Amino acid sequence: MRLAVLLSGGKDSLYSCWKAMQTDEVVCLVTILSKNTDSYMFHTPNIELTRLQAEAAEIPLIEYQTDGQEEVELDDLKASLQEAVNRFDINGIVSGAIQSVYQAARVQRICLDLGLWSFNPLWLCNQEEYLQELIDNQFEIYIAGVFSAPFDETWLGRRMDPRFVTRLMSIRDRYGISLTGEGGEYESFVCDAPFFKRRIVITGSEIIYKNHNGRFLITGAELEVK
Amino acid sequence: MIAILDCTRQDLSLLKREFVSPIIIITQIAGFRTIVLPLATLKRPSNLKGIILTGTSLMDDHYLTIGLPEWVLEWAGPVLGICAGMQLITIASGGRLIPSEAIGMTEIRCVNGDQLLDGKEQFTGWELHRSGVEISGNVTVLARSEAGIQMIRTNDRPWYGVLFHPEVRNEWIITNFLNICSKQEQYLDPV
Repeated sequence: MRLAVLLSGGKDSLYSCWKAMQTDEVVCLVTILSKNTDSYMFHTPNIELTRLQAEAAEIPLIEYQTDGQEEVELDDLKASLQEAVNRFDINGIVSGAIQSVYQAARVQRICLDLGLWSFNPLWLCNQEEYLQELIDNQFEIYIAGVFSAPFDETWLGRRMDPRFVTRLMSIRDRYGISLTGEGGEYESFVCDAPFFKRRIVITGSEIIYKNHNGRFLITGAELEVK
Repeated sequence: MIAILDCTRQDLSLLKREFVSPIIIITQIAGFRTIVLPLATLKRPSNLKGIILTGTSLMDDHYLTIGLPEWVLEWAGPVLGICAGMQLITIASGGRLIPSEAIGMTEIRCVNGDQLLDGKEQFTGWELHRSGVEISGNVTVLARSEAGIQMIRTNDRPWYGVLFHPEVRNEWIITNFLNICSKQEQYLDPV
């Protein structure tokens, strides 16, 4: 099957892309550039850097702008997938939804309208095993945003390594956060994945943080031979 | 042993991660051994205590061309059919499918008591389907939503159908089903 992957730049979309590539043909990536930083649908920190990820993976990227207004942004998502149908003749799309029925329902509805298959390789997965799998397979992931207690400034820009997972698990039960951050607790950015031909090196960054709400903004990045 | 009958199209292995793996996780956490088989499997596994028929993607209707295998139709023990699985149970029990498209969370109201429902009166469930069901006389409706029938049980044996996906936010239904399975003696092979 010819598939498009919805790419946010974070771990869930890149892992789902990797899984889809193992059985099917990923012919393009689709990124929605939202002007609304509070969107329920789309991830925003460092979103413009998906361009580098697509280049690293050597897969064409469709970038689509949206103002990010609730429900109107869904028309923009639909238009971006229609473009993927027109340009790359896709049969289906892949998303990184884990538990969010809000996102999953909306993507499913758009796919049905367009006659596309919808695949969610992470749906209801064992989150602990999933994080371990990311680490075991050398995904290079950094924390790009934190949006809830108890995350403070020290988490921003941190690499997701075994110590990170242990620390996450220790706060999970106390604060009721999801390990994968799917409740919007944190967001991530991927610099390297098993299918990248080159890796991204961060050459400049800035941290903005206030009251459990912060972003690790990548101001400079380039591709490096692996 | 619980047999999980995979109703997804077999050449699309990505679907298994979405529709089969969550059922395996819930069943194993409940302490049961599982065997996953494609719907088209011709031979019944041994030491069976129950069968779960999975759902599949909105675009996938391949399961309708396969139907329930003979060994399942002859099985007197507990069966839980989820979405596509409920549609197959409905057809096997003389009912039929009707066009009914639903995606998202919906309010579900219990209308007949059963050990599967454990005293619950209403809850919200995750729907993902393009067909609903009309039942025959040999089936009892356990729950409904505004759009129609959501849960059924056949009258002659403990076969259940749920049109929504209980693996999403309603794992308790699968756990209750597994409790029903564990109370049954192992079923003997039909003579």
